[in-house]
Amino acid sequence: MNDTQSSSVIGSSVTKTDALSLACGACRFTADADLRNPLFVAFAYSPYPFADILSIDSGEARDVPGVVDILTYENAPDRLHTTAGQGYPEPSPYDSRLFAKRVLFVGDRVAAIAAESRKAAEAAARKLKVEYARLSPLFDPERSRNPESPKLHADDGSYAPLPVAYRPEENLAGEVLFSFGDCEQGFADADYVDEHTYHTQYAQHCAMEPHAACASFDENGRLVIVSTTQVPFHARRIVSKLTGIPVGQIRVIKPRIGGGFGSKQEVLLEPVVALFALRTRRNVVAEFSRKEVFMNSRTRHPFRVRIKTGVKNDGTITALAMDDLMNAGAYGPHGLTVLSNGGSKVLPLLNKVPNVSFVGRTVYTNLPVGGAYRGYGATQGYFALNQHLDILSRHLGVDVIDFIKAQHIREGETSEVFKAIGEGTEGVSQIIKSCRLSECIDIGAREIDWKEKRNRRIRKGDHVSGVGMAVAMQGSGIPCVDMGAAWMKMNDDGSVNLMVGATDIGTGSDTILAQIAAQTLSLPMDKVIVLSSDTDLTPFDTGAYASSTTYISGKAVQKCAEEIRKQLLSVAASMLQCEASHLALHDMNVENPSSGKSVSYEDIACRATYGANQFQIQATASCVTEESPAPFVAQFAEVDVDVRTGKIQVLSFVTAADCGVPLNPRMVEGQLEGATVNGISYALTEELLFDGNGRITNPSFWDYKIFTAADIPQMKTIIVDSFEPTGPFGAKSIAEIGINGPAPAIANALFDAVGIRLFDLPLTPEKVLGEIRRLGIS
Amino acid sequence: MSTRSPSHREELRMAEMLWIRPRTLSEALEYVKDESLHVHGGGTHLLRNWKGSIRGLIDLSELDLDFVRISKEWIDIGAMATYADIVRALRNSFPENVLVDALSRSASTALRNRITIGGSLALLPPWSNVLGPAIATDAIVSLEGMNRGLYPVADVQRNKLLLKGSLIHSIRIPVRHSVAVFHTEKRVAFDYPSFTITICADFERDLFTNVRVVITGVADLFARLESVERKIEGCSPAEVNSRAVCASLPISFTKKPLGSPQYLLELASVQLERCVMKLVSLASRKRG
Amino acid sequence: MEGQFRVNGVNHTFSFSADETLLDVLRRHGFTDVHCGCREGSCGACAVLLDKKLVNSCLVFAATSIGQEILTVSGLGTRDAPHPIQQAFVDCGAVQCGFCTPGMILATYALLSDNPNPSDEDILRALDGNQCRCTGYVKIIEAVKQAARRLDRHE
Repeated sequence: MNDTQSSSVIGSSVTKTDALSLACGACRFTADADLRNPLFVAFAYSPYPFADILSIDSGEARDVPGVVDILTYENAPDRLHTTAGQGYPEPSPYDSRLFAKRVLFVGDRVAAIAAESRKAAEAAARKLKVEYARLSPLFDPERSRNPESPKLHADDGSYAPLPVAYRPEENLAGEVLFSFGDCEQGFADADYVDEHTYHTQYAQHCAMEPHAACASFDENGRLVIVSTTQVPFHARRIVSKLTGIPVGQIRVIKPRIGGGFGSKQEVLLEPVVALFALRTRRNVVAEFSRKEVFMNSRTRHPFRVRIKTGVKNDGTITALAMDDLMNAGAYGPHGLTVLSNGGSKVLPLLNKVPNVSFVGRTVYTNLPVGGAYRGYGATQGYFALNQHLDILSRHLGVDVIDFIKAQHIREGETSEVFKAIGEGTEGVSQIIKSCRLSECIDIGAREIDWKEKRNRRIRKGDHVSGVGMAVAMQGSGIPCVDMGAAWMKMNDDGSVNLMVGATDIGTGSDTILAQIAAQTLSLPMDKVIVLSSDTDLTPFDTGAYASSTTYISGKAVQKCAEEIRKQLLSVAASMLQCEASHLALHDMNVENPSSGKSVSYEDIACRATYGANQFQIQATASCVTEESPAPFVAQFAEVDVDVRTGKIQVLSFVTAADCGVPLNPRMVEGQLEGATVNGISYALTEELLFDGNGRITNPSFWDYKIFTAADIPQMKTIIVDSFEPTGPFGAKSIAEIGINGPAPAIANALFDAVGIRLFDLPLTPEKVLGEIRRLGIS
Repeated sequence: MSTRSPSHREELRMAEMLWIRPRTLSEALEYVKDESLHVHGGGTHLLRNWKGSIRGLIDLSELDLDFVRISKEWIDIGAMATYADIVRALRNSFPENVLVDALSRSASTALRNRITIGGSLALLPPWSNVLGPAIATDAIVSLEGMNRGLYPVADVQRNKLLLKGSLIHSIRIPVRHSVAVFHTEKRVAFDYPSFTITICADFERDLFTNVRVVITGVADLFARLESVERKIEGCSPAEVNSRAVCASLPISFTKKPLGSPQYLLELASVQLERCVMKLVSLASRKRG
Repeated sequence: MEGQFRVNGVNHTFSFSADETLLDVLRRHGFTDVHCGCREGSCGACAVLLDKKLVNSCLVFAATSIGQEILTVSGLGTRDAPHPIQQAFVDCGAVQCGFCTPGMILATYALLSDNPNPSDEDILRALDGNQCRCTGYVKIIEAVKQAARRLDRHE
């Protein structure tokens, strides 16, 4: 029998469940935890990019009134691990220790101090006397593998827990090599061969809430950690490994999080607060300053992407070779996987190319450490690929829109790349079951007036305008790796508690998962009470990354809710004395449409709880899939270029996306808009700057510029009609993909406007003006 | 943990910062003589650059220095008037005033509610837009204390020793019927300027007189571009060739996050040219 | 030091050291709806209204705020009785992680108290010191306009 509901929850822009509490300041973030008499933590960091620590004299530091404990490599556990929050065993190398004995970048962690006040801890950190023997540092990733370059991890025991390519003796933190067909032949058969090299910069997430973690003990002496984590279960596991405390004696709770974007998919502070708590039996709080977020957490990995293509006059791409060099920085968390995604999320888009090769390497340098960041390698790869497609289409004299529409992967198709590149393990073959990319392209092009504006070089005094576009695909979780689970129980009044490990970091996953449960059970939203991300009270979930929550955690919730549904029908059947197959759900009632009889959830729950054949209406479910359906996006930029200053202004920006069914359209728009604006400033104004010693010179918003409301262009976001048969109610992911298009779309629009092409991000006014001068454009 | 004696640890205990709130100007000036104390007029610079601990602050909030007084000849602004105070007080009577324009585009809304004109002139925080307009409008700083007197703003900037043992009491700006242009070079909307350009001139009988062209953010902090001023002085709008006027500027920049010294110089030249063109166009409209 | 502060309409006596910021003093006394994002006046997450003016509490000494009226977002409205601005932010989808939200809402309140019919330019200027990384600002701007309309209708 078909369930009904007077108003569908799916596809409805229901209010985010925590929005009102957040707007009224009623929610608690990690730093708002009310701990009794805590110790505060401050850190001491290396001022040098590469040095051995000869001695640490903590005498004066300990003398600072209020100092209680100090940790350095001398007394902290020295177990090698990765700070990356990933499934176990991780595809990232175990090359980190809690405190370095050999420091590998300016900002590497040397010591931690716990004191009665933040002031005292910071004063003590300044008074720590560390003697270093400086070594000659390596900053150029193109040189990392040269025999004469210093090797950062050759003799410190670093190893890879999975059988992946890892050669620290070469400074190689990861490698992905694959090919099919014969590229050489492909190039030989081509009419045009183009090769270009693209570079992306060091950038950062800039979540408004800095990282923080608290440790305390519950009344049974178990360690409780509250932290700004995207990955509570991975954090628990890593804290266990580093402290020696069994996983079962640790509880990790994620409260409200002020944004992550990948920066908090890293286990940085939790082990430190845990150790201090264990050593002192006190409550412990650690909060990063904004400067520490910039200098001592994680960044986007800079990439060098070289693309070589062979193209025939009729538009056939005969061969595509991509050669990526990724700068891991001093350690390798997420190294292999971001590198892999630079190929695995990009190359399948052009699945008709018969000869493809991908050479990807990530190498160590004495520079800040890359980590997970929205887009995760695809952003960098698409900056390159989309400019390359623009170049090819111009060679051929065709509209890039038509060129891409002819090339891209379609429903029912696959790509050899899916199987070839995984995330540390073998990839998983995919067949595209939903793809509306061509529709996205057409709708977006119309919206920005592509035909009227393209190739026009409309000039107004010193200003010229142009349009450019870009496309992207991503994934929905890591197939065969990411797992999410859900528990549900029904209360006396027919409401349900939904417990999920899935991690809402401001994305609104609590709301989306509640919508799925509510729809499946014909419940209003306020009858679904979500509890998420508490390792004691919720089942496992890999966490908020890989765009996995809606698809994988969502399917777990759907499965779980379906079990609840069966139980509801079964009790109702005995109450109404008919077959369960005659019954359907409708607005918190179970009805028999033919007899007209119905019974409310409340009555069912009371019957089950108190009445007869009592049992708790409850269910559990897990989900891991072999599918990772790709969302698609087409993004368009209209820019104005001031030819005398080089300044690019984005006038308008259009995003057309295929995310399957948008479970909550307003929240989907919110994800796309946020990702897009981040992508635009990434293209134009964001860059970590360094001095000659590898030190970041702009670790603050003062000189690391992101947009405020006054900077955004006219924005239009369109969700294209689509349906993913394998997704919960037809949904795919949407969280990451919007950040991939702006940089290449703007670069392509720049070319459209003034005929210059920049291959390096960010597209600064100085670079633009430099090219204008170099090419003698007036 | 420590083998040192308890008294040693006591010595290291951080002393509570002194908070001094003088009730009169002369009381304040007594404290200002002590160089270990910092003057605080309510602005943001001190906290933004907090270095750990200072011995004491002299809080000027009781001194009623937040006035804005308009007379026929002068605008007198107390040192503790915030940017927001000044914009609010002047924007109706002097909608085209270049100082009002510059301050209203400084920093952010919340910061404009705290940044004081006195603090800005004394400490020159990067997002202060006040210097260019103050010099270009021939503003005068009134100092009290050891170096009591009236000084052109530029003099106070060039000779920081003037502020020793002294307090900025107020700034006085002559009321002029002028045309003015202000440009602030920012990377995004909320940013400190890489440089600012202020052009002020009297415009009567179709001629520019008393031309002032000031650029801030240059290697030397600020510069009056007298060579540019001379090319505009005494000319009618039609006679001003903005490109010629702005050729070969005698300024240089140090490297900034926005770009290299060469790029900044080129950019400043372009923006100056555009400012001159805007000046000409404003004057032409005034002429009617 | 000790001083009297009026926070969200209630008088408090706070003890604090002379160099403490208003941000830290407020948070220490339970006003954790005032958030700390950068401590340098760039992000706006710590914004409060001080004598009806929007300020970054991280750059205000608590000592200079003695005797003044302070408004934090929890004083503007509650879950049971939200202020129309708070409700507009909720209804327009302008709240994602919520960390910038208190500052944004107070900036909006400061704007609409002074200028009930703001132009687009007025709105962008009023929010010019509030950073958000989640929303891309589109729905925040809509929320400000919606709040202005709703406040206008009820007058």
